[in-house]
Amino acid sequence: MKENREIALAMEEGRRAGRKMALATVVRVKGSAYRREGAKLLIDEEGKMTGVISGGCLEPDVAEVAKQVMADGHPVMKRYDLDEDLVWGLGLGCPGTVDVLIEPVSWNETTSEADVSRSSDGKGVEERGFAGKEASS
Amino acid sequence: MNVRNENGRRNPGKDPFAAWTECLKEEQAAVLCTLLAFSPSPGLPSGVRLFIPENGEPLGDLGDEALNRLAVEWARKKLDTLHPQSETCIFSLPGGRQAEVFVDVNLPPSELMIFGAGHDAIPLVKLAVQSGFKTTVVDPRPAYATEDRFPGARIILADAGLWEERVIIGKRTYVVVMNHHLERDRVAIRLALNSPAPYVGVLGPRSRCQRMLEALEKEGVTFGEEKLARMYNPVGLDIGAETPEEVAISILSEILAFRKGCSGGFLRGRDSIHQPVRK
Repeated sequence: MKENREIALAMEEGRRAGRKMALATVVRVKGSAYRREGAKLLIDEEGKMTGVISGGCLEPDVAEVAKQVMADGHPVMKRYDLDEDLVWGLGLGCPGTVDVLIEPVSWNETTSEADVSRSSDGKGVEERGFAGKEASS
Repeated sequence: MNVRNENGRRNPGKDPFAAWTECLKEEQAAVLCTLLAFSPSPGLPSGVRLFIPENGEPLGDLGDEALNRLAVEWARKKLDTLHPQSETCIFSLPGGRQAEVFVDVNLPPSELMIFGAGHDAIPLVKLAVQSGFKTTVVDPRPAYATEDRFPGARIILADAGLWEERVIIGKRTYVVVMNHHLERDRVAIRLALNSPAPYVGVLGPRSRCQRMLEALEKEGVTFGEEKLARMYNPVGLDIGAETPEEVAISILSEILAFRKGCSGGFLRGRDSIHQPVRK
């Protein structure tokens, strides 16, 4: 599970450099697939990729979708049905359906240090002070 | 509800995604819930998230109090299991509403703690380090417990008298006892079975292990069934291992199988590769 850390470090580096990025995450797998839920691929505006979400057959298309996501700031859920839609790969896919969520990477504040252990208001679950929704801008 | 400071802007440092990223970087246990769909409202919500660290308070909002509560409960339950997997869940809410949420789990690296720095620990440490385990070797013998012999591992050069302050075993620490020394094995077993370690492998035949447990009993140290259920002896998968390298493969394979709840047999003929057959 070093992969998540590598994604986080690449995100940090991209933010420092002020590059736009999109994060693709496998959120659902039906049938067979090379990677399972939680696999991530980070793509920046220069096309640099970190991480692996398939045996290589999804990455090129996901990178195309990521360009659009970076441009307009809206997330996209893309379903790959590897029985029929495998038009770009080398016939490497496994028979299965993979849903990939492709989101713009954005923070709603320029906080480089998130305080992950701070209690919001010290009350119970019912009274918890959830912060507001994160706007994707 | 929104936490806003006086000028109406959201609290900086209160961003679930930033908190999650920090956790990934620091390799801490946490869950990030991302809303994918909320019936009856159509469309893909944008960046609606709830971050739940293993140690600490949740942060963020899925847009519905009941859903927040369900997600936090679910995340906590997942983090209590040995090797939780990320998944998309459907939560049913009052009034017939449904929410589809992607629950992403981040775990710290599993730890392997090996008692005994003999020649057969060398290939086990090597394999474990390659497989991403944070690996520790504990042995009181300075000639054996060296960084040269165990690259990539942390060395604790200490006998049992110092363990209490130096050896920390957590709920994601897998333990293997392989001192080839009855006395040292016995104290290591005692420590490991009384720790939160989910798995305690003991090298050697059953008769030897039994003898050590009997010796401990004479000292007045007994373990309930629950504690003993975590002991794996003889250690490893049944692959006919003989050399230290083969034994290392056998032991590490057992730990990997145990971690995911897999049976450790042949995959041949199995319809599904990734669905563990629960033991």
